[in-house]
Amino acid sequence: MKKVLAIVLAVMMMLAFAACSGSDKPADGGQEGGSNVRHKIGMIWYGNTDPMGGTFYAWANHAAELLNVELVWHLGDYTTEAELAACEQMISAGCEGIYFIPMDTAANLQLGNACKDAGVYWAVSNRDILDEDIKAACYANPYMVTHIWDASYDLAKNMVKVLADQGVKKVCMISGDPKDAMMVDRNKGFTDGCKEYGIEILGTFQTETDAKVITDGVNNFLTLYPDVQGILAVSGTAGCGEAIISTLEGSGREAGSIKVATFDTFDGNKEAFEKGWLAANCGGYTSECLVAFLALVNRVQGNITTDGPFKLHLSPIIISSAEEMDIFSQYVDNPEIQLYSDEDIKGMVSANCDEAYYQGVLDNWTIDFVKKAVGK
Amino acid sequence: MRDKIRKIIPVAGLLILIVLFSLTTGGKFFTWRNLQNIVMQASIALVAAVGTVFVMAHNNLDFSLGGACALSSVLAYLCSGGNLWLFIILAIVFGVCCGLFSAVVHIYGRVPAFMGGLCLMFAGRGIAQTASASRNMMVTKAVALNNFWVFLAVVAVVFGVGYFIFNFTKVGKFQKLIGTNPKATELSGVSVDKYKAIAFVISGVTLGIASTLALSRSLAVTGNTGLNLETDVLLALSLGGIAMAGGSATRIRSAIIGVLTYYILNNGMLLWGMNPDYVDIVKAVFFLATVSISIDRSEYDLIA
Repeated sequence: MKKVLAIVLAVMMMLAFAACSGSDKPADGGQEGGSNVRHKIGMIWYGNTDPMGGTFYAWANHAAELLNVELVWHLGDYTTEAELAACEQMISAGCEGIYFIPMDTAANLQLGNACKDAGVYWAVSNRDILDEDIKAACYANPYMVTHIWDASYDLAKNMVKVLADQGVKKVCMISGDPKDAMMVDRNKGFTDGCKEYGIEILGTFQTETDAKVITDGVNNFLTLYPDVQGILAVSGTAGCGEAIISTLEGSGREAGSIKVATFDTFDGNKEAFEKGWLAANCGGYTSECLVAFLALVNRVQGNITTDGPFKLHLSPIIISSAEEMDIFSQYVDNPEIQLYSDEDIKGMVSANCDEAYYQGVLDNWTIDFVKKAVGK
Repeated sequence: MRDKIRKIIPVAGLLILIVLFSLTTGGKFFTWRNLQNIVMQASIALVAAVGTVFVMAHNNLDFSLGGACALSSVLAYLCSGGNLWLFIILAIVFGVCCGLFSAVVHIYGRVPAFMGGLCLMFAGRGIAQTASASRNMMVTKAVALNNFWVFLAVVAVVFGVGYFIFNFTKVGKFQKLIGTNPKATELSGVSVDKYKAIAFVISGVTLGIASTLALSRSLAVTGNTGLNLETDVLLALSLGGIAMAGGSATRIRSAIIGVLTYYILNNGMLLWGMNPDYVDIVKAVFFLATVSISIDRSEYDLIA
């Protein structure tokens, strides 16, 4: 009992000491403007071992060096609770801005509130905010700098256009979860695109991650609709892209007689392009992370002030040939390759950067941009 | 003397960390905000650890914590329809059910408790992921509970009650007796199975409370609710010098010492701005050093 009392007293002393120890503000705090002050940014990031994670890690570190910014990384947080803990620690560590990909919609609210209470700017990318009340609360938060999400609807329509341009008139569709906002956009983009470009949807089934369901479903399509000319798929991850192509290859149909348009890159997609099965594929989300991060740096350095967050969207890169796929594989999401030059990066951190400017940078994220950046 | 050193090491480790980070973080460690952060971040594991001590005292391990936290949260959400106060009650009810499941598997199935716990961990995680894939389970009103004083009050009550039960009632004393010598305890007329079951029920209650604290941090029940909770709690208890074989050497203070050590270590390294690639390595070295000094090796003497 005495030991416990001693511990409790010690903890109380610590709390009392801390409560009397004065300001929580960062030692070098304040938004003093200009790049002479070395500002500190907290980076809550899922990991640096996969292509996208490693690439953004390398890009952000390079940009930070260039812009005289100190980064505090926290890797491997996959829950809102873990992201919130990291955010709180970063605020304690004196970070003046926090960048993160919210693990779910609630993360925006929780981390946003923590930042608001501490007077720290924050920026998010790669996720839409599903709940309208949370979205409104976040947009009303004066410290939110960016909200960048993937423009899945427009991208889906553009992928349908690629099929239409290749003469496809009848397709089957693999749709996504109607309760998932991103999948709703992809589903709607495909159906609206088909209407716009005069393509008939013969049949549909739903899955995003089950390769076996894909195999059975595509076989059913081929049996039920022998005149099908194309397949639209909302997801190519978790073996789904591979399953579509291998099912088509095993169907006995002539190579390239059915054109596939699918989200997400997957193994063997270059060969699928070469054989003519794959007509459109998409991927590459790293640029929105960089834009969100640089807009955050810009705000923390005091170069720009606006009334609300920049609301931006990114269309991932559409790949429509084996050559483009080859370039994509070599240069996109490769930590060794800096696709944005030092001038580009510095240009994104200046008083001239407004919402339209950053949207322009995101709109320029195409395979042609990649080709130009690597001199191809 | 060696035994004294072994007992002092966990407390000494905690104090060394506090002094180290106080001196090397430019005053950032000893700010009111940072101490609030540490308390709030440690609370979930600390509450869960208090219950786990009862299970470990009778020489069992509970690996179900993370999955059971997810499962009780999902079931509580589905039954409460997102009503916060109902959620709190139901989370405790379902937490107790999870504890009883482990107890039944262990006592009547004669299966080691950690096996039943592993099953619950996987099943709970699977059910939570399935449920969260088909609907958003948000309880935005839980933001009101995400408050330092609420967390501090919950921790104080849970630890205080746990301390009292563990040290001053037969429920706690019998756990240590069972851990020391279950056969002798049974021959003394104590219902070993009953008191083991009570330990799992207590663990279930604290798990339910931990689930509510987790909800107030995340505002939503997801497939990742309670992720790694069992690892965090067992690591923390090890750092706190808990007797792995249970018995009379088990001290409930291991929970508070270990959990604080674990979270202060995490916090301090981030305040240092340590390269994230080295953080896990440093944690592993610290863990190994602390545990290798503080662990009670008497149970291994016969093996040697």
